[in-house]
Amino acid sequence: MTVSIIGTGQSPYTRHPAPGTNTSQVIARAVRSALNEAGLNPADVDGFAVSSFTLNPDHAIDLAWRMGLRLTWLMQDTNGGASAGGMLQHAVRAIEAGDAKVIVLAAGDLMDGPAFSQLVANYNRATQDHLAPLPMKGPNALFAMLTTRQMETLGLTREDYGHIAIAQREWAAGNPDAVYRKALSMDEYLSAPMVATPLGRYDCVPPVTGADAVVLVADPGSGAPRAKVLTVRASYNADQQAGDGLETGLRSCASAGWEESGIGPGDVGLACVYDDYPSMVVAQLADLGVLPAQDDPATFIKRRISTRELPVNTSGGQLSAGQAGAAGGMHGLVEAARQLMGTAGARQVSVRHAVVSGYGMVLYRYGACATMTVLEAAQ
Amino acid sequence: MSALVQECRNCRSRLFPDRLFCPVCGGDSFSAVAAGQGTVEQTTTLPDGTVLATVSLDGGLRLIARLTGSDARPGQDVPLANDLHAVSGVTAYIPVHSNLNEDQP
Repeated sequence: MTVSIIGTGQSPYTRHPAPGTNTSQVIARAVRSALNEAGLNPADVDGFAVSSFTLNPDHAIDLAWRMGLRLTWLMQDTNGGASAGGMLQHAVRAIEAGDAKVIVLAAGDLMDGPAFSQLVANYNRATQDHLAPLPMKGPNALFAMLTTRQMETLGLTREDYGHIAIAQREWAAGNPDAVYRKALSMDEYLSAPMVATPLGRYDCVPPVTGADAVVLVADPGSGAPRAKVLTVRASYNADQQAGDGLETGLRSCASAGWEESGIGPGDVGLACVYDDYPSMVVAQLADLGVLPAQDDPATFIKRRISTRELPVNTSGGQLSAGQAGAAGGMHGLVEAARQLMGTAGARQVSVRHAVVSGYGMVLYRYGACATMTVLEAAQ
Repeated sequence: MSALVQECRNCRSRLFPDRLFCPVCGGDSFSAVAAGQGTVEQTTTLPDGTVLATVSLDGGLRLIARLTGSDARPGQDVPLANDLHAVSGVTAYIPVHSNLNEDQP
């Protein structure tokens, strides 16, 4: 059986949510928009999964109740940037097993200043005990040091990372929902205030309030555009936080993932990789094999990403569109599905296959979770 | 001056933060051991001048620290401390706010 995405939805990303905005409303808005695109009503849904850092004290069941859903399959995922792939992995199996026929996956957060501070100070026990007291407020410093390691290992410079940020900003110009759409120059990138050396402001994602959702069904055969899931794989704790963080769990997903997809990393026309920092774009493209091991990474960035020969993060990615908490993990999945379904508007590319990665949950030094999804355009 | 890390009583792997089962051998019996110094691998400077560092111990365990006292460069050996009060000169401060899942002998 094949499972496909037939609808995508977003609640508009915003840096300054209107007073009174709450997480449930924001997620419900994305769900409604995804159902509308799929031509379905809440009554058609029998499976629901959600990921959110700020849904408390509600849970998935509360949200399902308040949206009037009657379900035979329900899950909640806590793995942040890897949650979309994790939920998708479970949902595909649930549809294949007959547990549900129409599943909505959603992720979103109200991520204003206080919510962000609360999240990063209490991310997990290791953060509470060993990072927040340093003091360290959020993961920027950890990824600054990871970026330094990557610069030394791969011979990359700040300009190389700048090319990634600038290319994504160029894509964002075609995305009316991105919070940063104005062109970014190399001078602006390099002279931006430092956040944690060597990371400057444009190496870091703007936290936003927003949500993303997709609707999944078994092969509808209706002739409507859809994004068929060819593979979905996950890796958790691949190296037990004992490595240098330059390789993600995607490395252990890649070979089986490509084999199941029936295509190779050179065949994808779009990569939506989890871009919490430009260095992680490089790491994930390399782990997936999209950036071939024999290629010089700096040359790859300039020759393939900057030129759009390989479209990467065509929504502008989280670096330009914004990171809506746990929805950051679904951002790339929604974008890839839109591109494959032909609904990407001014930034539409011609593409048949896309790879999407998720990455997240910094346990102590870097992310411990990774997911790989390959999608194919179908009718 | 030292920082406590967790050591597996079975395979002697050193771990931080503390684990419940040893990721190397699967053991569940640990002791807390003092690590006196580490080597600075990378540093990052925050806008307020705070310098954070990745510090590696013999055997490869890496800790996240704040460098206090004065700056230290990658490759430099620095003393480790859990307690900021007893510190003078360049030191890698490793906060601990919990026990290390240590068995009582």
